[in-house]
Amino acid sequence: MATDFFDRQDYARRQTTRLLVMFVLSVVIIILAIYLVVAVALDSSGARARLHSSRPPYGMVEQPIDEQPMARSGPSYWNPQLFLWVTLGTTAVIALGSLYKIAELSAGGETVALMLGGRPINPQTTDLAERRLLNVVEEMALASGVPVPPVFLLEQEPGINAFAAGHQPGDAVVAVSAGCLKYLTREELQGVMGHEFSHILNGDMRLDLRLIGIVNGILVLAIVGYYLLRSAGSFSSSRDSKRDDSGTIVLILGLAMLVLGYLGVFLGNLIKSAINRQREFLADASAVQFTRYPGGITGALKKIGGLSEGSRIRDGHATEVSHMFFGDAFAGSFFNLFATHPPLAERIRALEPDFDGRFPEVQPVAVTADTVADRSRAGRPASLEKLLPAAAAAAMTMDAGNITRQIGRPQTEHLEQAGQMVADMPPALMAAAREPFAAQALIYALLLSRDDEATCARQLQMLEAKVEPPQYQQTQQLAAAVQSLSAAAALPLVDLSIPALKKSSPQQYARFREVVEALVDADHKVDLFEYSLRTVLFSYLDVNFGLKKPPAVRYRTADAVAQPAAVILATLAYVGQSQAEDVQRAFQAGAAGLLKQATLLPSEQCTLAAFDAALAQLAQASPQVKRAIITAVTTCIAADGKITLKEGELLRAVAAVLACPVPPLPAAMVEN
Amino acid sequence: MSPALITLIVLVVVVFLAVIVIAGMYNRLVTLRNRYKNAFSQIDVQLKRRYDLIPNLVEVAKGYIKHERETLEAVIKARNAAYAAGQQAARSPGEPQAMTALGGAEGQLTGALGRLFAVAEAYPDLKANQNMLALQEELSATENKIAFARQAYNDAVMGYNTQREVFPTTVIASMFNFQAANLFEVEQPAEREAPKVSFT
Repeated sequence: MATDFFDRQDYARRQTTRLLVMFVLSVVIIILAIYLVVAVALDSSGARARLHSSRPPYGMVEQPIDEQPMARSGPSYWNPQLFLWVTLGTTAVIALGSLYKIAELSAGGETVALMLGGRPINPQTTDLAERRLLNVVEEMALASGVPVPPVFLLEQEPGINAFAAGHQPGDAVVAVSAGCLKYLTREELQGVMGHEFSHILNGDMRLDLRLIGIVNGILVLAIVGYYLLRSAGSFSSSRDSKRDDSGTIVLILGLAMLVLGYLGVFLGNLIKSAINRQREFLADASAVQFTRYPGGITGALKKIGGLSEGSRIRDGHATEVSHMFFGDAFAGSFFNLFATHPPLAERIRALEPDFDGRFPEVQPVAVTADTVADRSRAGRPASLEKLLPAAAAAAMTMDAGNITRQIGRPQTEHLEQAGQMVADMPPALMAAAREPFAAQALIYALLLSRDDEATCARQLQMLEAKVEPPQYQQTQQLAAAVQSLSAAAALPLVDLSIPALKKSSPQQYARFREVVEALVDADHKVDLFEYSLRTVLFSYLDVNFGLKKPPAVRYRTADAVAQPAAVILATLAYVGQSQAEDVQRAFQAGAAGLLKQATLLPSEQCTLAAFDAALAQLAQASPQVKRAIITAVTTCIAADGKITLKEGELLRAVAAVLACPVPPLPAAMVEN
Repeated sequence: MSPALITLIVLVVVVFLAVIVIAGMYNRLVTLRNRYKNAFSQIDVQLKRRYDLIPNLVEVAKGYIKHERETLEAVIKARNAAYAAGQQAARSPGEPQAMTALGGAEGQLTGALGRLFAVAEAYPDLKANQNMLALQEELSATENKIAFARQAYNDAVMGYNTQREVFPTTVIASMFNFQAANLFEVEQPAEREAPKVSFT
C-alpha cells in the first residue's frame, strides 16, 4: 500500500464513517421490521377482539382516533403514532446500548486488558521472559516515536495471541498471552509486536472500540426482547382477556426484538469481520517492514498453527474484542464469513509464498539472558549487517518528505537505533525510568539546569521544600548520572519513563505536575528543552490521568490554521538559524507548501507561549492538514541541511501534541 | 395505540435506563477495585526485593557480630513472618485481615532491622564493610520505593472506599458484595529499647 501514516489515519476514519452508515441502515431496517411485526400483531389482535369480544370492538380502545384509519381501510398497516413509538423505543434502546458500551470502553485500553483478565507486567520485573517482552516493546515504541505502552500478560491463556487496545498511542496498552512468552523466540515476539504497533499507528484501535460499542447496541435490543418474552409469560397468565391481548402483543414484540436483534448482531459481526480481515494483512506487512525479517512473524503464525491450543482465548469476554487480537480468538471457526482473521496459511503465504502449509510441532523456548537484552541477530540476512550504515543513511536522508513518510512507519534502522539507544543508556537511569518513585525523581533531575549554577541551586532548594526527603536524595543521586548523559538521550529517557509514571496515583501525579511546573519556572523563563520535555511529558500523561481530553478535529483545511502554522514555522526558523537571511530562507522553505502568503513574523511575536497556543490549535487539525504541517515543519528545520538538537527536540514536542509518531532522528544528523 | 402498550414502552425504557445506571456504577466499582489491586502489585515487587536483600545483609553481619546473635535471629524471624504475610496479602490485596497482618509484620521487621543497625554501630569494621554499605543503601532505596508505592495504593483504596460508601453506589456495593478494602499502614515500632551497649 503506497500510503503514508496520514492516509491510513484517514482511511481508518473513513472506515468509521462507512461503518456508521451501515449501522444506521441496519437500525432503520430493524425499526421497519419491528414496526411491521407489531402493526400486524395489533391488527390481528384487534380483529380477534372484534370477533371474540361481546363488547363493541372499539369499547376497549381508549383512543379511537388511532384506530379510525384501520377501521376505514381494513388492514392498513400505516399507523404514524405507532411508528413513532417503535422508532423512538428501538432507537433509544440501541443508542443507549451503544453509548453505554462506548462510555465503558472510553477509559481506554487498560479497561479492555483488565476485562480480559490481564495482569500488568511490572516494568522492573526480574522474570527473564517478561523482561525480554518489555525490552522488545520499549525498542518498538522508541523506534516508532510513541510513548512506551503498558504491557499486560493474559496469564490464563495458554494459546499464542496478543492485542493492542486504546484510543490513541497515548493511552494504548498491549497484551500478550502466556503462550506468547512460553513458545515464541525474541524475533517472533518482535514480529507479533510489530503487528500490534502497526494497529496502534494506523489508528485501528479507535475503530475497534467503536465496533464493539455499535454491535453491543444491537445486542442490547436482543436482550431486551428476551426479557419482554419472559415478562409476557406473566402477562398471559392473568385471566383478563384484555390483558391477554396485550400479553400476546408483548410476546410478539419481544420475539421480534429477540430475533431481529440477533440478526443485527449477526450482520454487525459480518461487518466487523469484513473490515478486520484486510487490516490484518496490512498489519502483517507492516510488521515485516518494521523488522525486515519475515521469519519473525511467519514463525509466530506457524507456531499458532502447530500448537493444539492455537491462538484460542478462553476468557468469556473474548467474543466482544475478537477482532482486536493477533490471531483468531476462536479456533474452530468453520464459517470463513465470520472469521475475524484470514486463515493462517493465507497470512503466512502472503509473506512467504513457498510455504508448504505444514505446521511444525511447538516446543517451549528457553529464555536465556543474552536474548533478553541483546538484539540477537541470528537468522537475519548477513548482508544487511554490512549494508546497514549505508542503508541507514539512505533511509534517513534529510529530505523532509522522507521524514513525513516515515511517520507511523518506522524502518529497521529505527529499530536498530532504538535498541542502541536503550543499550547506551546508563543502567542506573534505565532502572530509575522503570519505577514510579525513581522515575519522578529522574524527571526532576533532567530538569535541573546544567549550565546555570545559580538556577540549579534555586531549583534544588525549591525541590527540597516541595518533595519528600527520600525523593530529594534520589533526585540528587540521579542528577550526577544525568550530567554525563548525552543531551540527545534526554527526551527518549522521558519516553521510557512514561509507563512507570502512569503507575502513580492521581494525587501523586498532581503533586508531580506541580513540582515539574515549578522547576521549569525556577528561572522565570522557559527554555526550549524545558518546553519540549514538559510538552512531551504532559501531552501523554494528562490524557492518561483524565485531565485533558484528546482533541477533536476542527480544522480541515490548511487555510484554517494558517495563522498558528505561521507562528510555529517562524519560531522554528528563529531557533535553528542565527543569520537574518537564513531565518528568512528556512521560514520560506517551510511555508512554501503550506501557506498562501508567508510573511515572517517579527521575533518578538515568536515566544514559547505563542508557540504553545498555536500548537494547541494545530492539534485540532485533520490528519491531512497535520501531514502538511509536519512536512512544512521538517522542511523548515532541514532547510540548512542539518537539524540542531533544539530543532529536533521542538520537532518532538510538535509531534507529541499533534499525536504524530515521528521516529527518532538519526543521531549522525543531529548536531549538538 | 393502547395505553397498555404505552405504559409498557415507558416501563421498558425506565427499566432499561435503570439497568444502565446500575451497570455504570457496578463497572466503576470494578474499575476502582482493579486499580487498587494493581497498585498493590507495585508494592509487592518492592517488598519481595526487600525480603531478598535481608538474608544477604544478615549473612554479611554474621561475620562480624559476635554477641547479640539473637538480634540477627530476630531479623530473620521477622523477615520470614513478613514474607509469609506478604504472600497472603498478594493473594487478596485489600482484604482487612491480610493487610493488618502485613502491616504488623512489616512493623516488626522494621523494628528488628533498626535494632540490628543499632547493634552494628558497635562494630566499626562491619560499618565500613563495602558489601554492608551497598546493601544498606539498596535497602533504604527499596524502602523509599515501598513508601511511594504504598501511598499510591492507599490513594487507590481511598478512592474505592469512598465510591463504595456514597449513595447510591453503596446500594450496588452491598448488593454485589463489594468489600471495603484496607489501607496498608505499617505499625511504627515503638522505640522502647535503647541500643544495648556491648562490652567487648
